[in-house]
Parts: sequence; C-alpha cells; structure tokens
Amino acid sequence: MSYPRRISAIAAAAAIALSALSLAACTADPSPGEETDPTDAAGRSPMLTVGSQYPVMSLNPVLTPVSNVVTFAYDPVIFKANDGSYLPDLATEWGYVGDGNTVFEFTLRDGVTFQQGGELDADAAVASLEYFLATPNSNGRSVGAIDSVEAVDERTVRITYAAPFPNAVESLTQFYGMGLLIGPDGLADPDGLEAESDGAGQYALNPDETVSGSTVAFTANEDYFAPDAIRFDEVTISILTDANARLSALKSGQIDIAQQIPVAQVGQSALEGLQTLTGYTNWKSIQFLDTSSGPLASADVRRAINLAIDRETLVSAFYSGQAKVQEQTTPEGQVGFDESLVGSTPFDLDEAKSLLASAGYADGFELDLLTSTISDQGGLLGQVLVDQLAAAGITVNLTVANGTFEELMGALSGGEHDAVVYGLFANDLYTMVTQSIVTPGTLLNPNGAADTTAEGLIADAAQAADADVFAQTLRDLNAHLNDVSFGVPLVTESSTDIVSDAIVLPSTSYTIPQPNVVAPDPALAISKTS
Amino acid sequence: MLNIVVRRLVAGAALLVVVSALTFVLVALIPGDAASNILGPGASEAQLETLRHQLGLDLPLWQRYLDWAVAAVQGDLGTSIVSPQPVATQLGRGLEVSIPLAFGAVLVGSLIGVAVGVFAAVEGRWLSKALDVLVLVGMALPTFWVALLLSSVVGVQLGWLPATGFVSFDDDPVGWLRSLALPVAALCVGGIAMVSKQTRDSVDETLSRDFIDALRVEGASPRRILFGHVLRNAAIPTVAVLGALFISALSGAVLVESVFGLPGLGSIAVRATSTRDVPVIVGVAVYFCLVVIVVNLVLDVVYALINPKVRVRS
Repeated sequence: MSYPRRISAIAAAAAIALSALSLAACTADPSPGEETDPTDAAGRSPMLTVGSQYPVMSLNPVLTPVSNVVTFAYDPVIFKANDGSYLPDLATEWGYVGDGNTVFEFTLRDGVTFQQGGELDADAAVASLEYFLATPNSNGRSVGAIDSVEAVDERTVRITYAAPFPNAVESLTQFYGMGLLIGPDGLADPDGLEAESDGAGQYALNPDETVSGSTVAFTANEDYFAPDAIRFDEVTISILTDANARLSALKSGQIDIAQQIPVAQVGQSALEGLQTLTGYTNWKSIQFLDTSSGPLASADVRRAINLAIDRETLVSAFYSGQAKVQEQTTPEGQVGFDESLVGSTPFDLDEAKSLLASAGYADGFELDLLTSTISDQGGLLGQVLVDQLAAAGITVNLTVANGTFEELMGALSGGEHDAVVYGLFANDLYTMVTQSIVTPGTLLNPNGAADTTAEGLIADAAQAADADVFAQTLRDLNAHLNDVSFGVPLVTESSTDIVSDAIVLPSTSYTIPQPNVVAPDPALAISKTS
Repeated sequence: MLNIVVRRLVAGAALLVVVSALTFVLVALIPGDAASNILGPGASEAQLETLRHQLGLDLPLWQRYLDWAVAAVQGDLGTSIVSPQPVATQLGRGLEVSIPLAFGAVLVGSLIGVAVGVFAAVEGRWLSKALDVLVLVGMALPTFWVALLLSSVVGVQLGWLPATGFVSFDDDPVGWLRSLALPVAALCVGGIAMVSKQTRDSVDETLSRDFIDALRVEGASPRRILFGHVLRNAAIPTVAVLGALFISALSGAVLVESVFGLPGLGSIAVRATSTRDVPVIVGVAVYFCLVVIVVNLVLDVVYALINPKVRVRS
C-alpha cells in the first residue's frame, strides 16, 4: 500500500515544528556583542557584557561571597589596583594611629552621594561598617578582630582592633565586603538591596533588566564622584556557569569577556581574534598535619620530600604548561615573595635519598597523604605525587576525599593523615599564615603543629611599623618556612580570561588576570572600541 | 473519567508529601549546611552555631519540615537562606524557562517523531530499517553533547541562532523563540527517536490487523484507512510514551540549561544544592513534582478519551 500524497498532512505537521526552529534562525540576532556604536562624547561605549562563572548569591555586598559583581555598584573605601598598589576611592587618606597597628583611621572624600540619595559622611560609613560586623558573612574573619568603629569627626572614621592587625588597608578594598560601603537608605532595608542598589559606585543596579540567576544589569550612575571614570552606559553580567557556554557566547559576540576559562578549553579552542589573559591565582602544596613525632618531625625528611618532587615535570606533563613551579610559601606577586628563593628547591632525587638515610630512613617510610576532589579533581595530582615520592623510597598511602568541604575538614582534624594536598588562593603571606596554614588551629594546621620562630615572626608582622617593615618581616618568615620545610609548595595554577579584541586592556598583573572593569582612575579600567 | 482525575489527584498529593519530606531528609544527610556555606571555610564553631540559630537550622528536622509544610499549604514556600528572595519568585522565573523548554521538546519531538514513524511504516522496508539505526543513534547521543554541538556549529560558526542566553517572551516574542530554538532542538533528539519508533511499530501493527483488510475489501481509500482508523489506533501507545518523554525532557533540561546558559529550574536546583539552600531545593523538587503530576494527569485523561478500554475499566 502506498500513501505518497496522503501522508503529506503528517509531514506538514512535522514541518511546523521544523519551520518554527528555522524561522527563528532567519531573524537577525540582536546580541549586544554585535553593537558597533562608537563611543559617545563622554568617551563611553554603550554596552559591556561580561560572562561570569559565579552564580550571584546576593546583590548585597556584605552577603555575597564573591564581590566581582557588586563592585559595579559599590565603591570601596580604598581601591586596590592590579599591580597591588592602594589608591584613594571613597577615602582620600588613611593610616594607623600610633604604634602597634591597633588603631586605624581614614578620611572620607567630600561630595559623594549614595544611589538612593544619602550622603557619605563618617556616620554613614560607621553604620555600614557596623552592619558588616553584625551580619554573618564569609569575609568576617578576614578583617581582623575589630573592637569598635567610630566617627572621629564628620569625615574621619576610626577602627580600633582588639589585637594588632597589619592588613587594615587590604580589608577595606573592593575584595572584602566591609570596604564596599552601603548608604543609609539601603541599610534601613537590607533585603531591598537585591532590587535596588545603594552604593557609591559607577553603576546602579537596573532591576528591570536583571533576571535572578541569569543576568545582572547596571546603568551608569550619573552622580558618581568621578564621571570621567565611567566607560560604559550599561554593563551586563551574564551568569554562564558552564565554561563552554562562556566561550560560545564570546565567539558568537554575545559577551565581551569570558571569565575563568579552564586550561582544557583554552588549549582546545580556536581563539583567533580574541585576547587571552593569564594570571596565577591558586597554588597547590602539601601541608604537613603533624610534625611533632615520626619521620615528619625531622627537618631532613621534610626537605627530602621537597627535593623528591619534580615540579618541572608536574608543570609540563600534568598541567600541560598551564602552571608555574612554586618553591616557596608565597606565590609570586604577593607580599612576602622572595626572589632569592627561586631555584632553592631543585628536583634532586640523590640528595633526597641521602637526607632520608641521614635521618634514619634509608629504607624509606610510609606517608598517609590526604587529597580532596575539591581542589584535586579525581585525586589525579595526589596519584602523581605517589609515583614521584615512591622514587625516593617513600610509600604514600593516598586517601582521596570525595565530596564536601565539611568531609575534608573532618578528615583533616581526625588525626589519621600525615599530610594533605590542597589548593589555596594566592594571597599575601600574612593572610595565608593567619587564616589557612602555619598558625595552629587554622584550616590546614588543625592539630596545631607549632613553630615558635614562625609565630614570633607573625607577631612581628602584625605590629610592623610600616609597609616596608611588614614586607621584610614576611620575607623573613617565608625564608624560615623554606628553611624548615614547613610544607611542600608544588605549583601555581593559571587562570585565564578570554576577551574580545574590541576590548582595550589596561595593564594586568601576574596574579590577577581579570582587568579592572571599574576603577576610580579611568586609565586603570578597560574600555571598548567600536 | 472523574474517578480517574480524583484518584490521580489524591495520589499526586501523597507524592508531593513524600517527595518534599524525602528532599528534606536527603539534604539533611549531606554534610555541611547553609551556615557553613555563608560563613565560608575557617569559620569558628561559635559563629556557625549563632548563624544556625538565626536561620532556624538548629531546630529538629521534623519541626523544620512541619513548619515548611504548614506554610507551603498556604502557598508560602519560604525565603531563600542565601539571598533574601521569596522561593516562589525565584522558581516562577525558572518555570518561565523550563516549561517552554520541556513542552517545546515534547511538541517538536512528537510531531517530527509521529511524521517520521508513519512515513517509515507506510513507505517500505528500507526506510523502516534505516529508522531502526537512526533511533539507536538518536537514543544513544548524550543530550549535553548534542547541545554543545548545536551551540558550537549553529550558534557560533554559522551564527544563525543565539549560542547562549534567554529572552523573555514579554520582552521580545521572536527573541524568545530564537533563544529556545537550539535548546529545544538538543532536547528533542531523543524524543524524536523514541516517538518515531513507537509510532512506526504501532502503525505497522495496526496495518496488519484484520479490520484493515476488511476496510480495503470494502473499498475504503488509503487516506481514510490511514487517518480514520490506523492513526487513531496507533496513537494510543504513542500517547503513553509522551509522559515519559516529558519527564525525560524536564530532567535533561538541567544539562541543556547549563550549556546554553538558561536560568531555568535546573540551574536554580544546581545553585541551591551547592549552597545547601534548603527552601529553594525543596521548592524545586515540589515544582518538578507538581509539573510531572499535572502533565501525567492530562495525559491520563487524553489516554482515556482515545482508549475506550481505559474508560470501561475506570
């Protein structure tokens, strides 16, 4: 039986479905990346679209754990440039009062208004700082033990610390919620900040164009204190958690910047006509969990482990060149980094074996090593380390913790493991040793492996008289940690942003590949050609 | 018919209770909670306890569930723990994406699948055999891979459709259609394979039955046989697979939303799970469950309407 014509009705039904798709394809694509309007008289481009991997948990600068989105609407007290320098923003002057780094004051800029109409003065700043301190948030432990915040006069704010805190300037920058001041109207209704911003930033939240979980839209704030610094009429953040989606959006002109593209995609993608920005933002190390007894109590054994690691091979074979060798506790570009320590820990298997023999472990020993899928996908790095240490006669019993941070914490504090492989965000040495490593009770030293010399240097750094003394003390601390092989630095991993060739880039730094999209000085922020 | 609807509604309500309670229990079993997520690594136990008290996370699980259930019955799904937004508002926006996506995939998949299936059944063996191969391929292709391919080729290289993003229907109906075209295409590949095979087999089976021969002997035209008798009978098993197709599309949407950067329920679920945002996680589970219950109810009614045996049994 044949139905050549009669089934045409059914075929037509299918055609409806197909044509719906193909008709859609025939319409012009109005994506923002294709706009070619020239910059206007004020030197602004009409639109910038950034593809971000981070879901926006909150548009309240205190509640959000990642500040890269809210900084469009909220300026910090002090701006930190990519080269690490601190520039005036809402504050024009700042410094410690007296000795000991326990009292810090800053002077606020004149003529600044918040987006909902309030004026920036010392009372407004104090109210914002107190709101930060009273609200549980992920940055609270990074700002020091604050005893009180008070208005000295109309423009001067004083912060008093319960203990010496040398990082007051850093804690008031755009990377911590505390420095991103909220106006009095916003503080009166903090929940309302999700729909209407109240910062003193270059852009104000555009609630009409903002879609929860997908898009955050901002419009230029014409009342900004330095209008020439604003480079775009509108900025849109597209939340694209999948790296392939970010790359596709960039290549098809839907976005201008694709942030945080993993190594694999960078290597595989055709990136003609695009700019690649690479920085080194995370470092991996082995941290010893108990150096009070057993083989790890010997500095020679810890040094032998350091010498048995072939970091060059890790970089070339494991990371396909998308990482750099790291031999010291401070990543390059951070306060505490010591150029003289470069090359101090070469791969030397013979020396490693010799040190083990002199420490009484000529036949090697067993090391219980913990790694976590949180920072070591599949435990693959841990497995490579197993093989490398085996060459020196060290038998590594590797445990891969699959799952959450809490599971890792449980495994760390349980006392069952000798060492852990972990990745940390590259930071200045003081922040790392007081929050993550070295100091007893911190993240990667939960059982309190003590080092009195290190603790003395940390205390000295906390009370350093000025930035130079602070940096020198941290370099001394870094050298000491290297001398005693407190841990085993491995590599610094790269982080890559890919941007459209229409973007004009300011200088970026070794550690931070992301160019500033907002900065109080227009020379420090990106712009866009037609 | 009313009996069917009432029975399904009662079963659906029970299912909602089970799903929401199970979701509460399962989330509680995962190590960590919203408090540790908000405060980040390194928070002290005292800080965690204070925040847990503020968020009500220190209450017994049964009490938290009961509080939630009482409010939910009154239409209040609570507020997100992580960001102070009503859960219903967040999920409502997610539904604007996920529902058209899933329905579009079922619609396109069933229309093309029925057309291909009927064509293969009436057009001879070679096409039928080719269909067997294509069905295998269609079922085997991972949805996320198809999505990546479509985004890369059609979205990036050809530039015919947006590679990512979602446009609201209210803002731009054409833009809405364009933004959904590739995700729907990625989601419906498996559906086309499933429906076309089901349709081909059903039409084949119906065409071989005695009453078709009788109709031919009576001189009925092929058009009348196909549209008046074969398709009506063949539609019964095909309608039965649409429910499974819809559920498959809804679950597949989680991956497709990620590839195309769509702010649907799947994206919300992934985000809420990573932050242990219990009200949102339970809300997503309830919404998914509700949609599945409603769709299956509608399909049951349609099935009963076209299949007299079901009506008689009920």
